[in-house]
Amino acid sequence: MSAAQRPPLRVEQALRLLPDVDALAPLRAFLISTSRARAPAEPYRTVGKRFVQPGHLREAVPLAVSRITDHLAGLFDSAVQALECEQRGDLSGAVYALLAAGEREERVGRLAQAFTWCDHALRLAAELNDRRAEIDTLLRLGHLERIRLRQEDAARFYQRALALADAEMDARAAAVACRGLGEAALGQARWQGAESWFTRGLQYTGEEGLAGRLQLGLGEVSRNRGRLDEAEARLRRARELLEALQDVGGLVRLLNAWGQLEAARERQAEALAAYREALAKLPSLGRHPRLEMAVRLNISELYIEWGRLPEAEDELRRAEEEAILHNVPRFLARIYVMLGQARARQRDDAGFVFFEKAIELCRGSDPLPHLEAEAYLEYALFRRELGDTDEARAYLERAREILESVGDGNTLARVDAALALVERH
Amino acid sequence: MTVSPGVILPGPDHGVHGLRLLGVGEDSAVFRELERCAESEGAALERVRDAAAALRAIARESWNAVMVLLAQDPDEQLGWWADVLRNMPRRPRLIVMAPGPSIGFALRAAQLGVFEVLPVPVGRERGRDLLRRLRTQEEEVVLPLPGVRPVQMGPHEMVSECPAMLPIFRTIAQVAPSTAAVLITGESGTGKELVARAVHQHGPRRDGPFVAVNCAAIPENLLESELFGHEKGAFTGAVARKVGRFERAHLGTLFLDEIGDMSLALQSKILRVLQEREIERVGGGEPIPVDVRLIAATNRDLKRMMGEARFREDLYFRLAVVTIALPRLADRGEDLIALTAYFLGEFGKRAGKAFAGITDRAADLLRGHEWVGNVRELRNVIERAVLVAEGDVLRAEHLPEEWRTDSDLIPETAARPVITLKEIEARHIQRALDHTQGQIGDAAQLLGVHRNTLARKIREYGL
Repeated sequence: MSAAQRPPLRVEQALRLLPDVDALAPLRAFLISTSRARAPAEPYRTVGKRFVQPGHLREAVPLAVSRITDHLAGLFDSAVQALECEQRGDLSGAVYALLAAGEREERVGRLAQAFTWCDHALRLAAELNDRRAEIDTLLRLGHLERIRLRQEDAARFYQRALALADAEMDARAAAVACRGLGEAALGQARWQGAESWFTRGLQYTGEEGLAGRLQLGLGEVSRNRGRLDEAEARLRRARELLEALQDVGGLVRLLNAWGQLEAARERQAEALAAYREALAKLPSLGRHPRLEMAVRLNISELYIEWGRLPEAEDELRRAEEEAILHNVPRFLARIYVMLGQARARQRDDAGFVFFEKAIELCRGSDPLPHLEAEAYLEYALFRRELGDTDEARAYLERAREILESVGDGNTLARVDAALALVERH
Repeated sequence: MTVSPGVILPGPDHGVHGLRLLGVGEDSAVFRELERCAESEGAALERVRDAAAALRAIARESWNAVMVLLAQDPDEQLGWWADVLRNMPRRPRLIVMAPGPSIGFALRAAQLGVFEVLPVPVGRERGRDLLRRLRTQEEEVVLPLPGVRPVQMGPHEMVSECPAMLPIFRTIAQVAPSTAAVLITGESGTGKELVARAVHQHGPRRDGPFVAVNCAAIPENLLESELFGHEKGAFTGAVARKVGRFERAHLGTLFLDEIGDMSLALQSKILRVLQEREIERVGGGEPIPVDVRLIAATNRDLKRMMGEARFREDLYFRLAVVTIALPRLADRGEDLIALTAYFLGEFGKRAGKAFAGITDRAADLLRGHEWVGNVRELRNVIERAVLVAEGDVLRAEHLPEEWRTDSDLIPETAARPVITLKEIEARHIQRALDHTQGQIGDAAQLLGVHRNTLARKIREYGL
């Protein structure tokens, strides 16, 4: 029997065979991103159950090595550039070279490493008289923390950036910082705080693109607060501004928000049309997996609420492909939580595999404690739905423990409400 | 974003067979020509000027086709429209018009499932030809769904009219009353769990629990604790004491699905449970007695795995006291349509929809599919179809888009189930009735049979 005819290996089986050494880390990531699913026969498949054919991997190794070489060459180039800047006394140049390296890491999904580069740049920038580089570094760090779902840390970086921008009378940077603060507040469900930051940002800027995104943030706040007409007016205003600039990225985000607004109005067909329009615009942006996954998760949520569970699972599987291909564990964890929710709606106890996998992903090399707590919360609701109150209580207590250590009042309130329900049971 | 005033041109035959077309684009001259074609073909064409208005119209109403005039960046717009329409609940066909479309463009359009690419100006003949083809494809013959008599298996039902399933039903009946271990083999989705449930339901432990575990779905590091349970704190993540599946199946049946995916270490532990009839929770010291009937299933060749030392021989012989081999859906002949009818009934009930028929084209598409995922895949396809279907007939447009795109390319192969003579006859009669607008006498004359014979066949086929 030739190698190609032999049954493929499961990802979990393959990873177990490879020692956990630094040199193999890119190969492990490559193995996962090139693994294949064997749909539609495996409804409970998670990433470890996908298949990998060593023969195909061998063929792909030169491509993987060339990608890794390119990435390393870029990082080394930035590092050497930083040294050269230092040598000629251009510390600001050195900071920007380090930030460029951080951006490279971010592009390949290595967020912890990206943070390390930028954090290093910040130490250097703090020594400079010109605060421009420090402001940019703080904004970058805020952005990274936000996408790592560390909203409070993100807010701290944005606060520092705002204070410096104010002192330097840099209105644009101040507006960007306000937008970041608004987004971080949105991420923590602090609607009033988010509204204040977005509004303050608008006072700083006359730039249409930035104003459009701030209006978009305000629209999302209004929707979350249930003021749907106000949200519509704000989103329309954002659309005018973004369309005038042909800001496709902004428009995709806007359509995503518009879909959520339509969903909040229970106009599912209109919501779906907005999400689909957002997805259709994405190719013109080039590679943007995070945005695509965000839209697909919203579509899935819509389908779950609509009771169209097979379609929700289809959409989640598409998002799963993206998350695996682009190595975005936090999205993958979210996707598995939602697959678990879809199974819970069908009272299918085999759905527990999705929650277990989500929790395992949250405990990875770049831990996601907030998401882990949410996964435990949803897992508990799943167990409660199936009548396992003891397990439900234990998961809620674990969620509580995590949230108390990282601080997240809103999710904690949801956990306490669920605990009260379980106790009553 | 406002809907521009549309031009509605109802044709003389704007009834069941009247096509509804939505035109999208700015160029009035192009649409005037199309409107004339539509009028002469009895179709109705409504026009909007931009995509936003079109999306609203599509979300609001049902259309047979959307005719889009692509002006700038036709390649980009093509993908956009294909994606948008593919996911619309009522899935209208997409017809695109572009000035001087290239072959590459036309090929891409074909890959995206676009019904037709028309160069601008369209021309009256080409327009009429297009509408006629569209109508032909829209006119699918409705066949009645077969009556299905499912066999009740406790809360579950089994459906089969296929001779290949008879020995399986017989074996279930013979083995169920005993406590013998059963090994069920068959591809994924062939219904192994259903058979296991049937064995449990007809056996002496029917009042005990039936606990199913899919060994292939559970991550390796979790499977042991899932089967045997764990004490709180036994390992990272063991946040609560957990009762394992063996314990939960006490005095009942434990169904281990995809047992071929189990590691050798775990196979040894299962063997130990079978021999000693007790388990130990992970992190616990006390043996817990368990009394379970074990039914295992696999889609893998366990004998070959034994030869490769990947499956324990002693465990195999403990599990395979009785073996039941399930056929693939593709080998179950007309069970495909019987199961389709059954699932339409089941999912229809949940969705508040009742299905009376299936079109010839939908039946062909179902028969032409490979069914790698077997009955489970069919179930999923029908569940999705029920969600998008309107009316009481399962049509080709309710089935996955990619099937329809490929449908004309599916070659007749030996593997593809052959259509029955009765079905051909039913389709032909339906076509004749359509042609004579339901006049049985005229249809009988056309077909060269006596009116009474035709009336009997119409009753027989439920036309």
